Amino acid sequence: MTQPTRSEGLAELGWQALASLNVGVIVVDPDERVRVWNGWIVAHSGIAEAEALDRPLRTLFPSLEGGYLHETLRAALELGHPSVLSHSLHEAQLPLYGLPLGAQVPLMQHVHLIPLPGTPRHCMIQVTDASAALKREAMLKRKARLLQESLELQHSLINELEHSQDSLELLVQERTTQLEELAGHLQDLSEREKAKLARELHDELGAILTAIRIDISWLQRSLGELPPMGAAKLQRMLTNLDRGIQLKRRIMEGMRPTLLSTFGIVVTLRELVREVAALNQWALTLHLPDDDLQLSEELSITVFRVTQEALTNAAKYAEATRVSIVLSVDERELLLAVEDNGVGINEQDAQAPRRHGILGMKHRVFARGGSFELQKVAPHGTRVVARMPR
Amino acid sequence: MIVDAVLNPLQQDTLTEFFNIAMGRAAATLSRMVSEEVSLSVPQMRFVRRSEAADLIGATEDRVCSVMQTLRGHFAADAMLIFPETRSLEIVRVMIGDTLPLEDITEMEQEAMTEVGNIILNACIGTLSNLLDGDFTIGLPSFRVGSCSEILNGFRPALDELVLLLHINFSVERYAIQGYVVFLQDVAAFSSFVESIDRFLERAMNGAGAGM
Repeated sequence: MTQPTRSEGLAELGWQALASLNVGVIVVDPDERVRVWNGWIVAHSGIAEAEALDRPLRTLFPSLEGGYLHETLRAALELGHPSVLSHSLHEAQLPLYGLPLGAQVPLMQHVHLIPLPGTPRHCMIQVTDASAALKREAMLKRKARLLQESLELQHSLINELEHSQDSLELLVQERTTQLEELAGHLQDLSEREKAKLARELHDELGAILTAIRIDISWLQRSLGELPPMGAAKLQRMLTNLDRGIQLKRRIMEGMRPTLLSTFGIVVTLRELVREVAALNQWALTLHLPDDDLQLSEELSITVFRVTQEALTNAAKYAEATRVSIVLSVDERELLLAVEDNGVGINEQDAQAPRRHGILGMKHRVFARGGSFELQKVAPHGTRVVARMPR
Repeated sequence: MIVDAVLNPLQQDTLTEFFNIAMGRAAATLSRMVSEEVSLSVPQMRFVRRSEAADLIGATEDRVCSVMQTLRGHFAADAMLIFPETRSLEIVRVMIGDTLPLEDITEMEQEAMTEVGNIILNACIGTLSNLLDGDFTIGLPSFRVGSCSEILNGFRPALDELVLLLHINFSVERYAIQGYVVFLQDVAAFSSFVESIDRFLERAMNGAGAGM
């Protein structure tokens, strides 16, 4: 028995390596007859090597005849053009199957056609299993799709939330406007009722009280000498009647300052402020127009009431020693500012429902289409600023 | 500067026509493969220095996809197909019908792109080897992504040699992409190349015709 030469040994090793490769290798000659059919191809085609060798590839795989792979194989054999046939552009190119073969699951494959150097030219068909890569990519894409869907969902939820918030804001705005209108209407109504009551007090009760006073005076004069007890009773009657008349006048003034309709807003404000300042012993600074202003009745009442309320607050809570009032107008708007040097007002107090006075001022100004601000004054004190269109 | 002067207008027109015929074949193959109308054309062909080719193809930092095949035989050349990265992704996704594109090119898309490049390059190489009437060993296509200069200079020593630059219009459906085929070759190849065109023209003028 002769020893194999070195090249025979290498060729044997080559054959063994080829047979054990984890990729499919087929080599065909220029007539497309199979020269190499490795173990991997045997396993995935179910065709034994002995059965395949020397037979034309298209008789082993009749489906190849005239197809794209066959065409590229011809180009490789005739022109020496190598080709890559990807799974993405060609599905199940060779009739090969996954393991076990019995399940007949077509194998996803990448095919390389590699012309081999030498004459005549042979071509190697190298087949790789693309299943794992495809599975990996399918999983990646599924995750990307889930991510995309969840992002879309998140986006639509955010949109919905923003939409709800907008609707809510709109509703709040609408209700606020309605409430302001209602508050304005109620204030106007209240002012009208007060004016009516004041008129009735003046016209009816005033007349009655005056008639009684005239009659009592007549009695005092006409009855001459009265017993001391009778004279004292009559005098007490007269004194009580005068107190009643004073009370009626104060109630009337509170309801509807007669000064306002008689002398206008400037004189009325001056009187109001002087009276309250005297009562509280405040130093007073007044910046009022020299002449009276031509304002609508509603606007005059609003200016009067806001000033009245601001002064009441200053007297009740501020412990102020100095108060200043500014009333100025231009062609378009009226500005009223009432400032004190008291302890000031903190944010919480200004917001608290108990401070109905502040809310009342605010609503009166809003009802006239104006703006209202409660400002802090340095180093301490409060400034009420109202601007209203004329 | 572009060195159009190395070919006279007749040689230039002839070569452009050769490549257009090759592109027609490649387009027919691709159309059949993806069942869509694919069109390929070579509006311009020129010889330029390698550095100029890099400038023409794009800014140095622009990322490109390339598919390269080597040509070895009685002269050596590297054939390269170069497309801008994002546009080539779009076009390959149209061809493989992917509904959910990922940000990066996937393995499958890379394989598909390699195959498309392989078809176009084989057509160009076939034209050249016919014209040069030479025997060549053609290498398998390899795919690479990088900047223009990395791609153009990465395979060969830094010689500023003449390269053959084909401007390519490639369109599928409503997608159009402009790319380049570049042949990097040695000096011997260039002179035999010009001689081969002249031989072809001579045969054509004498009415002998020529196979491509």
